[in-house]
Amino acid sequence: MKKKMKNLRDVTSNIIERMFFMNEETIPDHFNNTFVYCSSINHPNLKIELYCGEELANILTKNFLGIDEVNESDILDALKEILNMIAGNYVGEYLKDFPTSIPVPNSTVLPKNFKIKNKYCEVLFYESLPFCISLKE
Amino acid sequence: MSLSLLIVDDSSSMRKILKKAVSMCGVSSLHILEASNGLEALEIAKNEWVDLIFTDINMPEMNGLTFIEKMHELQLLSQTPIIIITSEVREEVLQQLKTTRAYTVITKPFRAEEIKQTLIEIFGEEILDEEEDEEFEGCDF
Repeated sequence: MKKKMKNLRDVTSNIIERMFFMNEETIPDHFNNTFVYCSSINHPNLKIELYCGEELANILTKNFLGIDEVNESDILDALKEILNMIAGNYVGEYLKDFPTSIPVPNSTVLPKNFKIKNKYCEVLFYESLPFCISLKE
Repeated sequence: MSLSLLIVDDSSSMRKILKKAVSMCGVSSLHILEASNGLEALEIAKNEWVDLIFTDINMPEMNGLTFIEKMHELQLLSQTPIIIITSEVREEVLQQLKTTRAYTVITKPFRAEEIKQTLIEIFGEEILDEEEDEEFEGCDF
């Protein structure tokens, strides 16, 4: 599972770098770990979740769409699309015998004080803000 | 030369990004239509002049593959070039997609340059505005 997580992290880092020209940063001394948005794929053969806070979600969505003002619907849609690309590239590189087409992700606003319980997750940092990707068995 | 393009994707983000990428290509006159699934796209294609279609595959109501088949069943629309935009990168899936009647397949994330080159391949350099020289080297979507 550790190997799978590393592969997923590498794909995620690569996609964010290619799409947003944003390079992964080292862990900052202080950061806000409140996650507000989640995008997920819940397929029997592939369960991936992506979490980020409001500020990073805004930055990524503005950058993705190339506009200055975004709303919640833009953010939810953009996060779905980002996860779709991550999943497509992960399946293409590491799950070549995946039995079906890439499942369509869902995205949602998380309840207040949400805590990630899945132990298989990797946190990447951009603009000193956490971007968490998790894989479930 | 004026180009009328139809972008078919259930994701409004992807439609916005494709619009942005196409707009950056420097096409002198561009008219962009949008649909969120194959069924909507088919209706638009029957009623409006469309030179080129970009379509996603996984969509509700009618997916991209069925949409491509339906387009080819209609005599007047069967010659309209269709480009598949997909997050699939598996070689065997891409090969399958290439066996559809789509003109080509572009994988996500894509470069704006790929879109421009495809437009030039289909319509020639005359579609470009000579004065337009937008820099999109390295611009990915």
